[in-house]
Amino acid sequence: MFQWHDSDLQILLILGAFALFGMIVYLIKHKKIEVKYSIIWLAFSATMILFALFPYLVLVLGDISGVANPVNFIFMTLFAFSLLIMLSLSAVISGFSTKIKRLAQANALLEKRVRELEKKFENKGE
Amino acid sequence: MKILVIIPCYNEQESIERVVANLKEHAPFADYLIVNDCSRDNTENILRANGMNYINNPINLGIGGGVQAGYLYAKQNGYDIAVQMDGDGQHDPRYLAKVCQPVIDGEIDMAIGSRFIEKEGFQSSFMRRLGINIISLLIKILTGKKVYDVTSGYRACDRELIEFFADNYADDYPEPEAIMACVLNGYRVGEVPVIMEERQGGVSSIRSLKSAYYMIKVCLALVVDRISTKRKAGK
Repeated sequence: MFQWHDSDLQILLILGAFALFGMIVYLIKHKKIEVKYSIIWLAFSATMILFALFPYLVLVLGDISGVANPVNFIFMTLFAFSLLIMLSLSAVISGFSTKIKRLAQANALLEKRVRELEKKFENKGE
Repeated sequence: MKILVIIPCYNEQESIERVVANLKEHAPFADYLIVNDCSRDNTENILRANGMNYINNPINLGIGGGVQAGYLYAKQNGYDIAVQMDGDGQHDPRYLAKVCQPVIDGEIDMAIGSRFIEKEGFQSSFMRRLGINIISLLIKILTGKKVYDVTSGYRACDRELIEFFADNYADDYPEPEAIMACVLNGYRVGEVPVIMEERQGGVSSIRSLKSAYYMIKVCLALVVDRISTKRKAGK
């Protein structure tokens, strides 16, 4: 059984949660993640920190939601966040694919105009 | 009346020259634009060597994105009518005037060259006809509009639709989805009987192994279109 008052484990969880938070902040600071895509990650890591610092929260929330084993409540939260993040990634990718398509089309039309201009100049040069 | 024929083309080195020659012979009144969708064969060299009017997509956009580039070109260059015609020789340019006519007359906004009205010429395989019938039925259920040849890529549309398609054109299953988009946005769609040939070269974008997957995706896309588009009043 998962022992919620086992201080070693709690320290490990706290360290892990803060490490995750640190990584996210590092990535945002160095502009590896744009702020608008980082919000969900920040919410995720904040929740993890809360759970690690105050395991009582997990017990209460687990009780309220009727989850038999408190650790399952943690897993449920993790999974819910993973799903949300994946969904938001799909949305972001779809937005990009539209933008890339428009860029490619504009590029194709420009390339034609450049090609024709070059031809015109070549003919003039002769 | 400026007419542009948009010819999407992907790996059509065997047929593209003949398609353009036919077009010039039978429909000299129309300009054409070949959209070379990043062909991996010799297509681009053929286009360049023959001095054809073409654009090169820098990346493969698929049939929808390619055709949309053609509509953008038509919009930028002030064409009144745009006609889509496949680059594989299935579509006979002798019918071009016939397909354009109802659009020129202003009777409808989009005219689809249909092989199932007079049921002449190449009618496609049984399985493919079955698929077409299912999509056709689905469009009828979703919009109330019966279109027989829903996957026909031989279609003419007017200036308003050129501008509409330049901004909104489906990527993956553009033919049926374009019909949905037209009907839902209040444009008038009609069919004109034509006779189609069997393709002269290249590979269809709808391959047999993937056809079941195609059917599921296209049906889903149509349902999504229906629920995500608010229906506008027709003309």
